[in-house]
Order: sequence, then C-alpha cells, then structure tokens
Amino acid sequence: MPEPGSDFPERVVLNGIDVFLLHLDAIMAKSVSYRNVCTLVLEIDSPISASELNTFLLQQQGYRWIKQLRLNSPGLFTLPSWIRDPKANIPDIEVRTLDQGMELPSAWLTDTIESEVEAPFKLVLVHTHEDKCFLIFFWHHALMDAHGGELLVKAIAGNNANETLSWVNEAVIEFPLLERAKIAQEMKKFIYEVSSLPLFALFNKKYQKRIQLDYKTVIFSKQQYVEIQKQAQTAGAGAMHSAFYLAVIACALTQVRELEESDGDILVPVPQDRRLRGAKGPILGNQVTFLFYRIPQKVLIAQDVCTAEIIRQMLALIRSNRPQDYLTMMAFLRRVPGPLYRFLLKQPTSGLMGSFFYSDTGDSLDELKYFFNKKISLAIHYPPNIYPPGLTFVFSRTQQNLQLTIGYMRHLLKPEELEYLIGRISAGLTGEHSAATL
Amino acid sequence: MALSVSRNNHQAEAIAEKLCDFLRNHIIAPGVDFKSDTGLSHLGVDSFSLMEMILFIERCYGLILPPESLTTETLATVESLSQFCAQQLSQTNA
Repeated sequence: MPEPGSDFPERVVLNGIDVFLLHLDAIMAKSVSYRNVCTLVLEIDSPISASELNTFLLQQQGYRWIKQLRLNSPGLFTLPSWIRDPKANIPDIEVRTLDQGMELPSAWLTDTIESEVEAPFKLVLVHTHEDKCFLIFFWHHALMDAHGGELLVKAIAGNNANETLSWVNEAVIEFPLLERAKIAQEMKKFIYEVSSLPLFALFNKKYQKRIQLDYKTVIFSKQQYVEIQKQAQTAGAGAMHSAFYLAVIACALTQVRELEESDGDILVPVPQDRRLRGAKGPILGNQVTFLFYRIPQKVLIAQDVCTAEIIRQMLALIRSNRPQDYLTMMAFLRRVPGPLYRFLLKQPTSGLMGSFFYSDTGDSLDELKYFFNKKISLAIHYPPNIYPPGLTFVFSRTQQNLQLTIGYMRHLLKPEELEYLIGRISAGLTGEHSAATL
Repeated sequence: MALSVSRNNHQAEAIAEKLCDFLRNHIIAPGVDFKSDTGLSHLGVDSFSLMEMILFIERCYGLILPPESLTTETLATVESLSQFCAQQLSQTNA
C-alpha cells in the first residue's frame, strides 16, 4: 500500500490485475518475442527540441519518480511492488528520425521493458522531415492501464499546472479472508465454465515461435461516426454503442474464417475502467475489471441478434456482481506462487486467453490536446498483448472521429484477409463500404 | 389530464433525485459538479455505467427498461431518463 499522504510513495504494491499482467508478461517472454508493454503515440503538429523536452520533463517530480521505480518481486507468497530507487539514473529520452515519406514502422511501436532493472516507462521522440514529430510512450502493462497512461501524459504535459491528478490508489479495506476465498472459488468456477473449449480463434499454435506483430488503424470521419451511431440504434443497441462495436467485430471475424460447428463459441474478455467518472486518477495500477462474454455461434448470423445477446450478457454479469467478484478473486490470487499462477491461468483454455481481445477506451483521448505547449493532432493506442489469441481490437474516439486499431500476429491474417476483415467491419459499422485507413 | 401530467412530473423529479444520488455515490468522482440536466456523456458515463444506472432503476422501481428503448435521447441526461421512467411507470400502473 502507498505511504499515507504521499503523492509519490517509496513503495506501491501491485493490485490483482497488475499481478495478472505481470504473469502474462512472463508467459510472453518465454513463448513469443514480444512483451506486455503498452504503447501510446501522439502526433504533434510541430517539431520539438529533444534537449528542451528533456529539461522540461526532468523538472517534474512525477516524471522523475516514475523513472526511478523498479519492480521488486521478492518471493513466495509475498506481494510484488514498485519500489523507488533514489540512486537510479534517469537517462535522456531516446531520439529517432523517420525517413522522408515513411510512416512509423511497426517495429517502432513495440518495446521491451525489464522492469526489475530499468524504468517501467519510456518516451521516444521521433523527428520527421515534415513540420511535425511523434512522441511514443511505452509502459509496462503491470504499471498502469491505457487510461492511466493517458493520465500520465496529461500529468507531464505541462498544460494544467493547477489540475491535481492522483498518482496512486488509496488503501482498500478488504473484507474477511474466508469470504474472499469463497468469492474467489466461485468466480474461478464461473471463468472455467465460460471459457471452456472449444473456442473459435484464428490463432494456431504452430505460429507461436515465429510471431511477427503488425498494426492497422482505421479512422472513420465525423459523418461516418454519425452513421455508425444510427446503425447502432438500428441494431437495437440504443446508447450502448460498445456492444454494437463488439457485435460487428465478432460477426465480421466469422465471415473472414467461416465457422465450423467444431469451432465453438467466441470468448471475449472486455476490460472496464473502474475509476469514477471525472476522476483525475489514480494514474498507477490497472484500475480495470473484466466482463467475460461467451458469444454463441447461433447469434453470429446477424449484428442485431449478436448485439442483443451481448447486452443481455452484460446485464446478467453486472446483476450478478461478476465484475467486482473478479477483482476480489484477482486480489486473492496475488500471493499464489508464479508457476502455479501461470498454470491456473492457462489451464482452462490451454493458453488461449480468448477468441480475440477487445477494448473501447471511450472519449478520454479527446482530453489530450497539447503536450509541451504543442498541439496534438493525433493520438493512438497500440494494443500491448498479442499473446494468443494474437488479435486485438481497440476502439477510441478522438476529435469526434471514431478510431479502430487492430493489432495482430502477421501469420494469422493474409493481406487479402486483413483487407476483407476491415471491409466487413467498416460495412458493419457504417452500412457502407469505405472508411479512411492509416 | 393536468393532474396526471403533474403527477408524472413529480415522479420524474423524485426519480431524478434518486438517480443523482446514485451517480454521486457510485459512478461520479467527488467534487464533480452536475445537475439532472447535465449531459451524461459530458460526465464520461459509459455503457457500463449506464447499465449500472438501469439496474439501479430496476431494483428501486421494479421497472425493466428494454435496451432498444434506451436511445441516445433518453439517456442524454438524468432528467430525460427520469421522465422516460416516469412515463413507463404510469403506463404500467394505468
């Protein structure tokens, strides 16, 4: 737990979701060549001087503090923590230059962070030959979630000196151990049931050792976003647009690779930000729970049928308190030794975490307008965990445009299949066949 | 008719008050100022939070709101949602 009354404590204990993501990182390190590192890219509409930016960042206590955090995973039955090392050196930000006419290569959108020996947060400044630059923020997923990353960027952007952001969570009052154990046991049973094999997925184990990662971003115009909202209404989603987006993705995927009866249902774990709305933090810690949707094959015939099923499941999950029970279970499991934890994690689905990953980050990217007094013209999250299922869809809204970023293992989708998938998703969302792509 | 409209309005106000309390205690961060006519999307209320509000109404009033009736207009503000609920309740009781 953080020291009371301190914005920048010497020690921050990882919560249940942080520990899960730490174990996922360990699994990824062993099996694929990528790590559990999040990426946020800002396009800035003018160049930035690296030395001025460096000086500016080093003046901020929050930046210095986070750059000196190191992961401490002490041992059996003890809780991992972020510990500040006051002697840790803070290196200058990395600088790269993009060749003229080139886009940011996929290889620049991923990084490896060994949090025990280096800072869990990095920033890369990319110069271009045009009147713009890019800032690439990387952070270990066990440090914070996507919204936490956005809040961190806001905290160090230099825009709102008077806006107080909270960096760490307040102490949580836990209820009795036996009660927590009972909830954990019931929740584990639910998860094993909802994720029972077979499950539909593009992932094939034979690609596991030869993974190459790629990204594609689709940006829908303001007019298309209006159409998308109408389509959501037509599909019966009402104001639950995210359920509609998820239904479109699920239906589109099964058009790319036809469902066989033996393929099973679609399993999608969807994160939900548990921060109170309007809260200025906490920045650190994954403040999310998960809703586990098991979408049966029979509803994948039509978007409106699928949307209705997702909404029905969402209501049922919230009604039965599953999101909170999941958090209780994950907190309870923190002290389980690593090998046993990872065995429990992989056991129900032989390592397949879902049919695909999905996230809707909402409108929060809209709050990122300026960094270092320079205008932000574009902000994109690149999904971190491409571990099986090897396919992630992230929706976000910025400047009244809807964005979809797809992260995928290159071997899972041939170029024409990717093109077809994007076409089906665009048509499903807008009811038409064109959308801008990046 | 006038009496019925007035009763509806009273009920809508009562529902709005309860909903605002629920939002303050469970969904919206302390210190965030809002009223019953504040846009919910401006407050950052997402699909999940909307579901929590709908289930709160279900628990308090025994009123089950079908998702397709919960349009962007109905869910624009606490006030619009409360008026919708009051109409549904009066139709149920009629």
